[in-house]
Amino acid sequence: MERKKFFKSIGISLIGILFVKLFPFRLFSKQNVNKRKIKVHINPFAVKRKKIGEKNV
Amino acid sequence: MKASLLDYLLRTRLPVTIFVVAASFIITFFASRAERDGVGYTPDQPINYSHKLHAGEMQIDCQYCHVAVEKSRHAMVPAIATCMNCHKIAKKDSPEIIKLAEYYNSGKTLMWKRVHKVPDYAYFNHSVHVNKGIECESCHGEIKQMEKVGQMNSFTMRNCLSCHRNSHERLPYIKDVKRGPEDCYTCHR
Amino acid sequence: MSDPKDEVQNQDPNYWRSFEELYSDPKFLKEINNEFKDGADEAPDTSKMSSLSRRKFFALLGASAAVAGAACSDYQDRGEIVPYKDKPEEITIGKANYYASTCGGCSSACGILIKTREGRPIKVDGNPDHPVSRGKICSQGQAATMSLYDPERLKTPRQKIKNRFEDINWQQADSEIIEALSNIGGKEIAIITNQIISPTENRVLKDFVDKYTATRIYSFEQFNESVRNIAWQKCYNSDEFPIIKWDEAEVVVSLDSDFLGADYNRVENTRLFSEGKDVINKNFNRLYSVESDLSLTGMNADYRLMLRADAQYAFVMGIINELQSKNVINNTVNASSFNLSKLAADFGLSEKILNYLINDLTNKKGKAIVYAGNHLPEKVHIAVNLLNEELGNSNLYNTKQSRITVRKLSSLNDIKKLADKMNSGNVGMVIHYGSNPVYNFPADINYADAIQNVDKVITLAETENESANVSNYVLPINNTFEAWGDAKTRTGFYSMQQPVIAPLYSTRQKESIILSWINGNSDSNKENLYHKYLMSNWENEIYPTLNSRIEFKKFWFGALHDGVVRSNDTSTGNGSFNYAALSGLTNHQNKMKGMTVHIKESYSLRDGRFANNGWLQESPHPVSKVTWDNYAAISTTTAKKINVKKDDIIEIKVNDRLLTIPVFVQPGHADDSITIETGYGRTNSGSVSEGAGFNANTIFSSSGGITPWLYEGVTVKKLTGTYRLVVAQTIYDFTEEDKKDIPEKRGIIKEGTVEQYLNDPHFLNDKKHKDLKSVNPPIPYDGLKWGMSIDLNKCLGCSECFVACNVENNIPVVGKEEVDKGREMHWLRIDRYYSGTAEDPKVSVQPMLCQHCDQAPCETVCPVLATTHSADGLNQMVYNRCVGVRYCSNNCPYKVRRFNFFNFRDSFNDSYQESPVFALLHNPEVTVRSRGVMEKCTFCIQRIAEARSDATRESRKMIGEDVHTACQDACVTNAIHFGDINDENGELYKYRNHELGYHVLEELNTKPNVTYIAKLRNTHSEEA
Repeated sequence: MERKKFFKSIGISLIGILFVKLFPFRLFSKQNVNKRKIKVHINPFAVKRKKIGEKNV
Repeated sequence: MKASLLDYLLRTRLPVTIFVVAASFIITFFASRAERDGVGYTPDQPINYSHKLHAGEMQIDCQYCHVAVEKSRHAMVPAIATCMNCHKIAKKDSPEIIKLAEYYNSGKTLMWKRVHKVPDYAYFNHSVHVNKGIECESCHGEIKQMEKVGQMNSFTMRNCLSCHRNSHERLPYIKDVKRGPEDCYTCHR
Repeated sequence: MSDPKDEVQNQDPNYWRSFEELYSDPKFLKEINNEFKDGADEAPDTSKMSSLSRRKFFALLGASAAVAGAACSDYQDRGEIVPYKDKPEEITIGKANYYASTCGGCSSACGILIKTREGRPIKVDGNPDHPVSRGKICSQGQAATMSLYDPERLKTPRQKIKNRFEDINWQQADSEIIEALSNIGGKEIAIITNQIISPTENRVLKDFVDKYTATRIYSFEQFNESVRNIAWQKCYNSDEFPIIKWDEAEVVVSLDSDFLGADYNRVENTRLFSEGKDVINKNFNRLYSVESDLSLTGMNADYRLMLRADAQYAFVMGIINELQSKNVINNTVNASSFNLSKLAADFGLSEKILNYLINDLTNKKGKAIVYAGNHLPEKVHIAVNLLNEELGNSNLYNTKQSRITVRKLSSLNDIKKLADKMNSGNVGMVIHYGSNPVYNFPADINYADAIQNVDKVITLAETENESANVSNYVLPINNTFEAWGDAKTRTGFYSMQQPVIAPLYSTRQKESIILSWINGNSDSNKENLYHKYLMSNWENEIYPTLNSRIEFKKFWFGALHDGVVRSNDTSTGNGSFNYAALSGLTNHQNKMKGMTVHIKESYSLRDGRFANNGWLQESPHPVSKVTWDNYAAISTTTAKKINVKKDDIIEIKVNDRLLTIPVFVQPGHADDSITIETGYGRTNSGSVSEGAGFNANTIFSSSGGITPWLYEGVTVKKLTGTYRLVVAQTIYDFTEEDKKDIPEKRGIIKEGTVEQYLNDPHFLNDKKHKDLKSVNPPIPYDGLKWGMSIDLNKCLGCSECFVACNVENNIPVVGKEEVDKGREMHWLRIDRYYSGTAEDPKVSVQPMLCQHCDQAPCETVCPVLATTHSADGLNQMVYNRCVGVRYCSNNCPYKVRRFNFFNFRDSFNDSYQESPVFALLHNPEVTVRSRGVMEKCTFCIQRIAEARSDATRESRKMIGEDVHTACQDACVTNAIHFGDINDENGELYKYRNHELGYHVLEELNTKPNVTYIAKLRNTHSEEA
């Protein structure tokens, strides 16, 4: 009887592990927040510095 | 002679316990090493870009696309416009290029699966390594032969430090190579 | 044999545990023989227990853990990496770009260099090519990036419909306003602005007046130099008070003037003044400060006298009288009733110091300057102008460069007339053009009530404020980093402003809004409407006057690149002194009545416009170190007189106005004087400003005071209740003998006098410690080793460095309650020590940061080795290894390690700092720390790493001068030097090995790498 219980539990655990490995749980995940409401744009007319000038100090 | 408890413990229990602990540790360690190091991770990409074709057969230089690698900390994945430089015309009808053009024209974000990632608490600096003459292949493996990019080397701190310490052996193609820094703040700011 | 129990019970005293025992209850007596109560030794009832045995429970536990582990099959997933579609040419990911622009924080218009990363501005520093700022910027400019990314900025236009604000779109707002403008009829259109410093903006306003002729423009700044300028006009018939050549002054006499702190033109004043505190070139000036409160300037004075502000007229006339009677200056005015000795006796001034003052003014004729505070009345300024003229100190007026006012400020009379017109219903529309009159206007004008009579009230603002709250339309405007502009504040050059980021929200530049109303068409507002207007104004009006040899497009490009455009206009010089002005000086000493109140601009919030900026709110007051609140500062004697102590609440009555405010007992404050800073007590201005301080503008009036900022005849009443003022540094105790003067005794502060130093440069050495022995063998540092020096002569305690460090290193704002527990996260702090008596203290300041000790006590005690020492002398902090034991902070004798008790970004103000837009503010090269890790100054390791990377790229060795720490860059007086201690040709070497250099707490043998240059006070030898 013990042997039966033993193999039954091994069998169930193997099925459980297979299930967890194969099932695509990914479907339930949060999607990456694509809604970037704030857009960072550079103003095309701005002029950037080539040299930083004489040292600050 | 009465078999004492201590005798049983020492002859049977102790070796069995040691064996079980050691076996489980060793098996877990080696079996999970790939997972821990990340070596071998070769994900599917949204567009099947082949480095073997572009970098290998056509011999396009790494830095033609990965522009910032010599100037800044990051190597930078190229902008889609860089691809369109050639692919406005080249192989316009291939299904992968059609996918690419769709991304470019619609403005949809092209989410490449990231292959190489150093954790956030380590600040890796590409430009220092490149400017010292280290080749891309030393860390990223034989990219020129990869259809799909995968991680070939482990990016654990142990691996980085081993190259820093044995730079002479690991980088034989650089003359007078010095040992890399071992101070914590080199990477951990 | 008697029952032992009975014996016990019969003995004295009789102890009993319950009534049953006392009255010998028979049931009790039976039970007492049983050791255990009934049922105690029965077998357990298994039917009542859980069916889950322990064994099963553990089995389940293990199994679920195993399943969870097996389920994490996507362990290797590293997320995504996203490229640009079209990479902007300017951007190299990981490298910063710099843009020259102009700061919009105040009307000084200092030139700035904005550092951007991937298109986001993250750090502001001065523009080295700008003649005024010369590479430096004040703390408001440093913290300005936080205002750009403020989550509470206005994002869309709003209209008040039935007492609630609704979002509307620009077309609707514009068309309704344009319609109202066209149908204004005979009523006035009032535009209320701050000080206009931009010539092009001025032209836009003029164009608006041309189109809508009923418009009148009112420019208002709560704190300004109008009194000084009026006095100057009377004396020299010239509109602008000159720029002072502080660097050429050997003696400076400051009469209640905070010229190094909150008064106008701080950056230039500090930079020039500190040239006279030079231990390398041995150039020492002497500062006398005669003031009512202990200001930043007074903290750094060599000699200080405390005098209530309404007695300043008597004081300066007393000096004139003394000098006239000694024939040092000509007799030009009758000042005979002002006797200096009697004044000294009346006001408790030291005769000795007064004698030194008179002698110095006599001996240093032409090389000294007397300077009066902005809030003092006209007659004081006239007297000071006379004094300077007669002493020949007009030498120190800069004749090569003078100030230019693009548009004069309106007088308070004009403002009063506006309010009258409003009350009589003659004003049809009011436009608050970036200003906040409901908060800043004098309270007696009752502007908030007057505005009820105006049909349309429009506020153009970046954030909500008090004026927006009572408006019909609230229109959001661009932040200065999103805006185009130019500025003209001085002869000789123009300053350019360019946007470094496109507007984050649906905001418009305020000039553009006005332009589209002039055009009469909302659709005319394209994104670059003002840019075009600016360029065309330059091309047509300004560029021709510059006689430039290059064509306009190239010139414009260069102008934006440099940020400064040189022009040909020169100063017209000052006229000669008009002695008719002296008729305003009466030979009559007024009696002092009641107390005086001086209303001052806040050091951190200015006139309140920065109230929603957490960094500035948490920046401690340079003198009192109070954060997050304002207070009424009074002297210890006055506090005893009205029986109050710190945190008690008082009610101040100025004419008929009342103000309830807590008290702060300020050592060194003049008696019967109260000083209050404004900018606090804001309402409807953002959640950070909510509850911070008290609105002192309730007593700011246009009349009834000596000047709008100075009132006499003030009475004070103590109220019940207290208000906890949070101080970032402990209150100094002058009374206990063993606590007094600890900084001097422990060698934390070492000082001397200039005379001592010039006689014996090595006078500090006898205070130094002999070579101490250590258990650890010394580690040789042959290569580059980082060190820092802080020159306490040049350090004024102004806190620029402090704010710059916060910006550079992503320091979180923790809020008032946490500061109260000592949990503020500032890596660099300015310690302020008093010595002497509470009534007349001497003040010493010392910036304290991680000393990066060679034998650091923190490194040896970390159980996980999260903090170690690098090969180039830095104490490294590895955040990911730290487990939060806090032994390192415990062991640090300088207490410079800060622990993240909470994730302050999450806990302060309901995760204010975790808003998505706030994340744009962070410096990407510095870790954003979470709960449970220790942090401290890293000597800007991110800058060192970047310099090393640049040096590698350019195939050269890195030297000490390649790296500037954030604090070093920000310090206006260049008190901080950083570099390689082993480099004999480097900047740092002469400071590190200077005879005045010492280390703090040297005797602990921690071998710190921050050298402090001892402060020398320029006092006479008996004072030493």
